[in-house]
Amino acid sequence: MKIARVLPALLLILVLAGVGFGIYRSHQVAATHARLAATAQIVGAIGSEKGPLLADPDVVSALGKAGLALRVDKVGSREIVTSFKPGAYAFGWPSGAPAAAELKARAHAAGDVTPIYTPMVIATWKPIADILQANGIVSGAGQFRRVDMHKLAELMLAGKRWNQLDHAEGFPVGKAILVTTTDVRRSNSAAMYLALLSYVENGDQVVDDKATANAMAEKLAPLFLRQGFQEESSADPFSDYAAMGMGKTPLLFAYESQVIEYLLKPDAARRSEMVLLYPSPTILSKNVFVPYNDAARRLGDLLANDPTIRAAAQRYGYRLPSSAAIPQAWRTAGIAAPDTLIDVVDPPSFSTLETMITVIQEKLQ
Amino acid sequence: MRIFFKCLAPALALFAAACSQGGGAGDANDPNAFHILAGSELKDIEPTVKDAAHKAGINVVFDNAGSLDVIDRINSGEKVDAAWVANGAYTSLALARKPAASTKTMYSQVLLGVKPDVAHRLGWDAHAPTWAEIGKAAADGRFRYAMTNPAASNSGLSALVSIATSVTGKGDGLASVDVHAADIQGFLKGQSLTAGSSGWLADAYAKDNAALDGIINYESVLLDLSHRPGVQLRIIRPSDGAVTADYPLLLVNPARRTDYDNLVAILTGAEMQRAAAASGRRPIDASIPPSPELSRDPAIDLPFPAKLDAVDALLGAYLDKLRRPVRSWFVLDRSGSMEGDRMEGVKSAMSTLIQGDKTTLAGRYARLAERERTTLITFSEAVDPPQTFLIDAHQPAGRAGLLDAVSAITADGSTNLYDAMAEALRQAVAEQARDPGRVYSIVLMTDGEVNAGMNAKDFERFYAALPANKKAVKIFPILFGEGNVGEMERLATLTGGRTFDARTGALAAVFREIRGYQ
Repeated sequence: MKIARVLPALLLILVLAGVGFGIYRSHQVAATHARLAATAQIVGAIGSEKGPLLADPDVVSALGKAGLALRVDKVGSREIVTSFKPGAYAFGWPSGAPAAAELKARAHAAGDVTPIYTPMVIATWKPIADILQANGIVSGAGQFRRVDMHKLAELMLAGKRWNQLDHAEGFPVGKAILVTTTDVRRSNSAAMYLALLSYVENGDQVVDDKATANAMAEKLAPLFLRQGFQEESSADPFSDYAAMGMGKTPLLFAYESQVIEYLLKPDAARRSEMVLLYPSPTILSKNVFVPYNDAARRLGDLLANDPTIRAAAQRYGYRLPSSAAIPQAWRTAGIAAPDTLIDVVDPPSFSTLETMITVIQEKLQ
Repeated sequence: MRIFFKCLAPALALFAAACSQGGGAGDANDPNAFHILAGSELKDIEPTVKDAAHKAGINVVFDNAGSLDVIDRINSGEKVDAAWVANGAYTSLALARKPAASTKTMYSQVLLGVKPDVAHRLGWDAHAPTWAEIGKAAADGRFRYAMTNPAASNSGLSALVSIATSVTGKGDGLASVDVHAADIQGFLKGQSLTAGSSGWLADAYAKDNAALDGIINYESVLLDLSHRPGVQLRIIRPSDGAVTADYPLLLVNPARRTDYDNLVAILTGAEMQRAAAASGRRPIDASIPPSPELSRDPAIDLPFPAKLDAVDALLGAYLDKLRRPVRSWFVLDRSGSMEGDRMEGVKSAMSTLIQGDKTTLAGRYARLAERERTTLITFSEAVDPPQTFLIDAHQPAGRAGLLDAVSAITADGSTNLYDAMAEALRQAVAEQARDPGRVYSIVLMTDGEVNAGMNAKDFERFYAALPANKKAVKIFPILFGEGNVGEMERLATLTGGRTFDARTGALAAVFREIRGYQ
């Protein structure tokens, strides 16, 4: 009885509150619309490792000045392609050229641009690099050296362990010699590892037919399966590498950009113990930007040419296709990375990579 | 009219928010609270996280559960915003839907804490042993240790994966074809105290470790344990490495992305990383030093398996073939007050244990395993004749017989609890002397005050007169109905067991939890 009497009054209050709130809301919306008229919001799908660069205050403000506001979803490079739906996003920015080429074809996109790239490296530690050098697998000196991928692959495929190498006193451990990668089913950096090793094991030829792709995947699958659990995102194994050191990650297949970004931090711990091995032959991760509309093409143009954004990209460890040498800021920070990379291998096509990944995927399930 | 409806929804939401009580930090009813389902091994650091998050305007509400329960609850669709677990690899492999994001927050390896004189006797103070060497010492009776049940707790699982990976002699991640049974079985001979939770195991070790040489647990727990009065432990890092807990925060509800990102920034920020170091864990931020008491040598990592089938094969083998088999007594009250829902609840929980619950990980692993011997003792004014069953796939009559015996129980009469417990203990102590290879426990389930037979004093006199090996028989009373909490706690402490509370939660979950301790 009581409720029945109170209810109409209560409803009236609610309605009044609702109308009042509605008026307030519509004012807010109008204000937001006025701001949006000047700024175009662009939504894109990117490989996750570029998230911090695009969220950098300098980049956000440079884009803002040009009237662009960016929102990105972090999606694996492979998934950007396989889950492509027209209209879902204004652009895709995967981390590998094969994915970008396929995406371009599926999206019928024009005006793609490569604002940044980074070579793949094997991040390691001084004692490990020295052991490999004593065994004739690594050459050079200091923090930036070269690793012979043919010899390294041979060791790994033979199931050799660290304590079976000569001069292994610095790491007398029974762990198998394996390069830690991300999960090849989801992550571009592991796909780059597969691309590089398939070239090496295919007699220095890019794999370009299905039969060879199947055979190579069968041969190389153990190098993924034997690692044990593999992380999905390249940030996780790099955290392990930097925080847990060589006991957890003696060798890590990484983007050069990840390591340089870390080394550029003034308080980077263990920096003097870290060594970068440049694979020979090597492979590049080309971050090809694929726009689906005009606003996105404008964004691609800015990413490639805006001086503020270019400087930011270099702070995040990326190289610019238009620069022949490493940035001065790297040099000042004591980073003696090679200016140019020789013996660079092309990755296989997206469909050939897919064939190889599918073989490994079935073994991982 | 359209405007009216459009406006009513937000108005109602506002109204509801204003009317909900409190709504401030620390309130689980706050509609904006960020709900984290966390592994029970994270309890120690949760208050610090809550405080740090509160300062940033996020009201974090923690709910703790065992590692497997966290996975089961998320897989069953429970509404949580994030999960925070010890073992990211296992969680990723076992979750039905991959989380929207995952960020590691700190590290701790699962290592050995060994009494200094034992470490010296075994030579482990001079040279760190491999897991295979630890297994050999355990098989020979030279190393008796406490370790949680791998099918219930992540520290036990990590140790089991470590030994299984080590004895393959390959240095690779474990594959299902590589489970070397004999070596793992030798290692498990030394498991002399078990538990369903790493924290409880550490407490039990601190209380009484006379019959033990050491304990396997997280490095952080071992460090804390080594500071407790009367405990002396040397932390041993096996030379071939150990499985590492990496404590990722997993985003389960993608709609809470912003809060998640802010929380990740807090957890990986300097203040919380220093708190992680203070807790004995290793910071993920390499610029913040771990506790100076921890070794600075590289922590060798043993990989977690790449595939769930390897973990399943290992846990299946552990339960059915490799572990010390379980010898248990279920002492069940069938007095008049149990009639109806209570008795039905007990029967249903027992049936689930006997038959297994394939729908959840925890339910699957809680099932009575091969080689187990179980005695059912029911009581009312008198103690009913005990019935004993052996679980054996080749003799299905054992499992079926136990199921029939449970379903035939009827409730009636008074409560002669202590005579029933005395009967179970007499049997257990006699059997333990003949067959010390099994793990002995008595589960007690009663809902009322004792009003027949021995009283508590009589029982304590009876217990005092039992031979010394009674220490090897743990009693696990379940708090239920109007049962006497004080007397139940006393029974648990007397034997180094613990009570389980079924007064508020589901009986089936309590029975499952007890399995971790058997």
